[in-house]
Amino acid sequence: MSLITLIPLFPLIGFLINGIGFNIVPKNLAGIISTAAALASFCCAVVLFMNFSGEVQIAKVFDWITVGKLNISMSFQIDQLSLLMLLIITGVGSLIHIYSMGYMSHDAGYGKFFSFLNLFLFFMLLLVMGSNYVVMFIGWEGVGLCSYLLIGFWNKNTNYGTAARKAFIMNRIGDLGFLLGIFMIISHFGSVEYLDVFEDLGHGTVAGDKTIMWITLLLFIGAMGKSAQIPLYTWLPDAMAGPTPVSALIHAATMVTAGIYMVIRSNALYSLAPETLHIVGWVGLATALLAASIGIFQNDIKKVLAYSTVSQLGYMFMGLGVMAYSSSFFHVMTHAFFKALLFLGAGSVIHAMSDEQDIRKMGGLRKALPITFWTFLIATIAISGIPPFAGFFSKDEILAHVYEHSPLMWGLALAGSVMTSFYMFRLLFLTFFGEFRGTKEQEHHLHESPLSMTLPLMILAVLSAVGGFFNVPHLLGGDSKLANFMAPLFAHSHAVAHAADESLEKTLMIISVIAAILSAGIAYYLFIGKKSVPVADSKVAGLQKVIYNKYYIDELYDTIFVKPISALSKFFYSVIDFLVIDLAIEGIGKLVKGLSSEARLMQDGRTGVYLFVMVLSIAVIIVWTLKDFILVGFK
Amino acid sequence: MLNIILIAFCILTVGSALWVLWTKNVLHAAFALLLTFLGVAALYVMAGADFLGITQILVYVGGILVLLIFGIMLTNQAGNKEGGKNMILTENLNRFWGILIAGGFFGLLFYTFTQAGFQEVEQQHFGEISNHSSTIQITGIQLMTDYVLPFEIVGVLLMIALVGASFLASKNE
Amino acid sequence: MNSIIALSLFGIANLFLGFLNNRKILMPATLAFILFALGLNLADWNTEVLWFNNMLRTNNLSVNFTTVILVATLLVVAISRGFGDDEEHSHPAEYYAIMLFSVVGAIMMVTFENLLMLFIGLEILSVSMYVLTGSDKRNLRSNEAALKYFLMGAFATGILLFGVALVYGATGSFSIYGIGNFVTENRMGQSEITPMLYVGILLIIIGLLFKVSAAPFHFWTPDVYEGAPTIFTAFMSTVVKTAGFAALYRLLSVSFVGEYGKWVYLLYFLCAATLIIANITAVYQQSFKRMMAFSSISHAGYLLMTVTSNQATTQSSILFYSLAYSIATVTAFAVMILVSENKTSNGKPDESFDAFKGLAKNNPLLAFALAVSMLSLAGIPLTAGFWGKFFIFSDAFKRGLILDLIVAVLMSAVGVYYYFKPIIASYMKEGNIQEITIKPIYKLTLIITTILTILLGLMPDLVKSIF
Repeated sequence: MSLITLIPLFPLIGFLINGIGFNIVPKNLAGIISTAAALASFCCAVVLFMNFSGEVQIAKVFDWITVGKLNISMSFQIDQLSLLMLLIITGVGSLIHIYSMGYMSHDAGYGKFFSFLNLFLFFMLLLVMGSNYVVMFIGWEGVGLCSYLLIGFWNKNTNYGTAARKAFIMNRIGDLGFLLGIFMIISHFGSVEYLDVFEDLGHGTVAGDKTIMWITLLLFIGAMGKSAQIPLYTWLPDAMAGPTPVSALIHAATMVTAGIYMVIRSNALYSLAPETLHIVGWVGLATALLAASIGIFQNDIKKVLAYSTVSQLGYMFMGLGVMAYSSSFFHVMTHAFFKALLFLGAGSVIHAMSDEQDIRKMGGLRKALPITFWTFLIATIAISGIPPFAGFFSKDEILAHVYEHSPLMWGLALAGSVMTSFYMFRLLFLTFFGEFRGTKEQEHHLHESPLSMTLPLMILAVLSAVGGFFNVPHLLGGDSKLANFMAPLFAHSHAVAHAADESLEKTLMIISVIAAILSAGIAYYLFIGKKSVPVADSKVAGLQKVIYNKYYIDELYDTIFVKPISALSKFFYSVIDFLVIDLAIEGIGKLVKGLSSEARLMQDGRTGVYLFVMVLSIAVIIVWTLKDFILVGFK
Repeated sequence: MLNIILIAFCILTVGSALWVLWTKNVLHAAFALLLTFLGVAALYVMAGADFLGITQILVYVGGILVLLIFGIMLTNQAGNKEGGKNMILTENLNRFWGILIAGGFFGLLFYTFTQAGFQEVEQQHFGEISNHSSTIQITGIQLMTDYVLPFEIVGVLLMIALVGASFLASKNE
Repeated sequence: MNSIIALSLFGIANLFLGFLNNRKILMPATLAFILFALGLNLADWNTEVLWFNNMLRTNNLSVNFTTVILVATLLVVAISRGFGDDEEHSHPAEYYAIMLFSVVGAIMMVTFENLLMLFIGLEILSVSMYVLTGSDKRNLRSNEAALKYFLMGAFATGILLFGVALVYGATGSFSIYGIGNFVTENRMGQSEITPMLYVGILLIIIGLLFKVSAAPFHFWTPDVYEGAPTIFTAFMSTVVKTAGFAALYRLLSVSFVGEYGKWVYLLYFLCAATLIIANITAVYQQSFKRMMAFSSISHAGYLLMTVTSNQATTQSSILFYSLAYSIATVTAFAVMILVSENKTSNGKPDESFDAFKGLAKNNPLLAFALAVSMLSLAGIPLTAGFWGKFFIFSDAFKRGLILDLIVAVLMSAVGVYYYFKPIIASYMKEGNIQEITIKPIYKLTLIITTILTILLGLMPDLVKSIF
């Protein structure tokens, strides 16, 4: 058993122990087992990373399934991409496990929670380690399932259950596209192994082939669902119903980036389909703008972060759309750090506020929660793109590539970035500055979180602060370590975008930094200078109301999709079960009146109607099949 | 002469079948069914399938119809007591659609058979069948040689029918 | 063939065992009988024999199908608990005997070479089912279901027999290979085509579609499944369905393959219709049992898809799907029997989804088995059901049945909705179900089926390579 197979095995074992021994494993032990499993995987990943030679390694576990010539094996692929993802997943995952030990300590479902977390890790590792699309799909579905279970973790609240179902259904829509994409890959390439598919692309496939476009489009639909892009993004804000560590791990740092991982993994395919890339880029941009604008008016601390996540994911897709694969991945990485940090910080705040999530009722928390405040501040600066913290480097790289592709896109993306900076600082100021606006009881109860929660905060804060230095561009005297490390991944792609020329890049960088700082300043003026606090829900009006209600997109979906489907379903239900039968009974009702109740039970017209429909269908079938003969006969 | 008899039996069969459909009294329907069965049996005989004709009479007339009539007579009709008659009346339901579908289906099958070209098919597959010898002997031999397995396996079917009938009909102790 | 003879004898033996005053011996005896028949059946592996003047053919295909049928029967018998709970009213000897006899019919349906044998096999199976459906004599719904099933089943049998007669008239043969040769030559234009042949083919297909409950011949299914005692519902939805599809597949792939163009559109549209009607209607069901009935119809739709595609891999797809489906269905019904009996409303077992509320709390095994079986039926990866669907979809994809594929994928998403209802009820809703005592063999069966479902989900090649 090689080191590679051990990585997903540890969380699986952790899940089995906690899952089967649900009521047997003592509470304290459950958390320790799960955390140990995550840490063990992390250690393996680190060792693997240290010994990585640059060669792609394939570890076959077993032959899975053979259909004709198609052979799908359960095997893992270790290369630059999966290694980096492994480090992020197990690293951030471990920290969040540690955090959860503190956060969930009062919860009754402690053991259940940890077993789900481990199961999630297992599937996520399958997703990124699989050496073919089918293994990726298994992981893909698995993380969807875990996300469903964890969103609905506090299932006593029906709304949470609905949110979980919404997430699952939206993801299923995406999965449908993904699955069809896999089928097309099978039929086109005859294999699902990444290496075979990309090898095959190297020779023989023409660049303009429409098949590649369809494959990539279908795969992108899968990514839309998982990574919450327009039009399938509405589940992510609702997913905040889950416990906060879940939001941090699944809905910020790891699972939602699966779509980006998949596109990067298939970069050889995407590079051959410029139409798809175009769509990817614009969908990403639109999502980034829409979500950022909604984020400005939200008052729920987690909702703000959720929309911010959607918006940042939009940035990443925009980067992918302009073929800046390594820049997007860089953003995935830094985003994992600072967004996990933001969520965990938010969790710490919520913990201190006794489950209050409305920022209008917070304020002045920096004195009571110093560690949370400082780490949250670092993360806010990082996400706003202000140097020298992580977000600046990654976001700027994407923006530079976008400018080269289309200045218009760059301008819009910059607007999004300004909004990001604004709502993040708004959140920060409203939460940690000013006067406390909650109840006396809450104020009395305010406390800094235990070490198990603050330790991950501090580690993540360090990473958010220095994470950018993994990939300092030439411009600033660095050597783009990450991009060089990842370069072999894009060998199959025909052209990886080049960076813009240096002086231009410098100008762009300065513009975006100034814009971000300015908008942070505006937020300061509004929320600290003028001490304004968002008004109560009922007083919101005009355009702001539209945005506050998320552009009524949920309602729109409800009217366009949900209602017709449920109407259709009701129609079937009523027409088949009631109308057809009831009408028949109505028609013959007068005659049936005299019959006794027992006879009616037996002969309520149903069997007759059933037979009638059967005979009718037989006649139709025969006529239809023999239509050629019958037409000839009449001529 | 043969044609006239044939037509007469056809009319008997179809006419009594229509009577079955039209009458409201179940007992009358049962008796009309008797005529239908007889007519069909006669048609079988005229088609040269004497064994089938006899079986038809034995099984349907002798067995099934008697069972049917017993069933009707033993059914206790509380509502009809004062009239002194033990009648079961039914209603004809959904007449329009029923006739339409049945008529259409009949037309379809009729068309199919007119197009079938039985004589061709017979020459093609079955060769010469002597018109005068009885089929009973050959059926018997076939049942004990080529078709012995179905013959035996039908025993299982009858067994189930027997066990099932006795089980369903038995009173709970 | 040997298993047919053995099972017929065992059925009679079972009736005699019923005279003993010891009911406890019946279930172990039946299990032993089925295992013995399974052994006899497996002994036929890799031999190709024609029996009794081309009446039956045993080959690897028939051995495989027989194995699936016998395994399903074994599982159903194992969860029957000897019908001992109701000492006064149940007749275990008769039940077991009829079950064994009906398996004889089912095996004939997968080994037939002569249409006569198909007909007799189908009748044996059907008549047994009529009786078993009505076996709960005190329950009005059971009686009604039996009568309904009988009426409609007799109708379908008539249709099938009519079809057989027409095909015989047109081709002069009862043998499926004889018919196949004629049909192929016919296609080549060597003789004049008569509509009689087509009507015959269609009527035979329709008769079989009724038995496997494909739309629009499915109307009996919900009523009958709901009315029948649950244990026999489980038997019906596994054994009858497998045998029906085996027969349909053999006929279509051997006899009628020459006229593929004539019947493919029929099945193409019926498949889509079946999937849509079954899944959409299932969404609104409140009763678990009725939901399972619609689920069974929808699985008929999926199986119909691979039959329609008529690929070389179709037989193994049907086998794998039937196996995965049978195991999951038996598990689901097994859990349901325990849960519904535990919670009664108005003196009757509560079969609604509400009965499962809070199951996971005190009965983790039952809840887990239920969840796994539901996931498998929904086709979620890492369960056997996923691969079943996967193979079927890839068959359909190879043939290019785009409409069916789209409908099937959409409907499997709809399926998730209703299959998750019991899972949600058992894991996420509050309820007070005390710990249910389970007999060891029942527990063992649940554990085995659950492990099998997951194992086949992890390594489908384990059995797929045999099929």
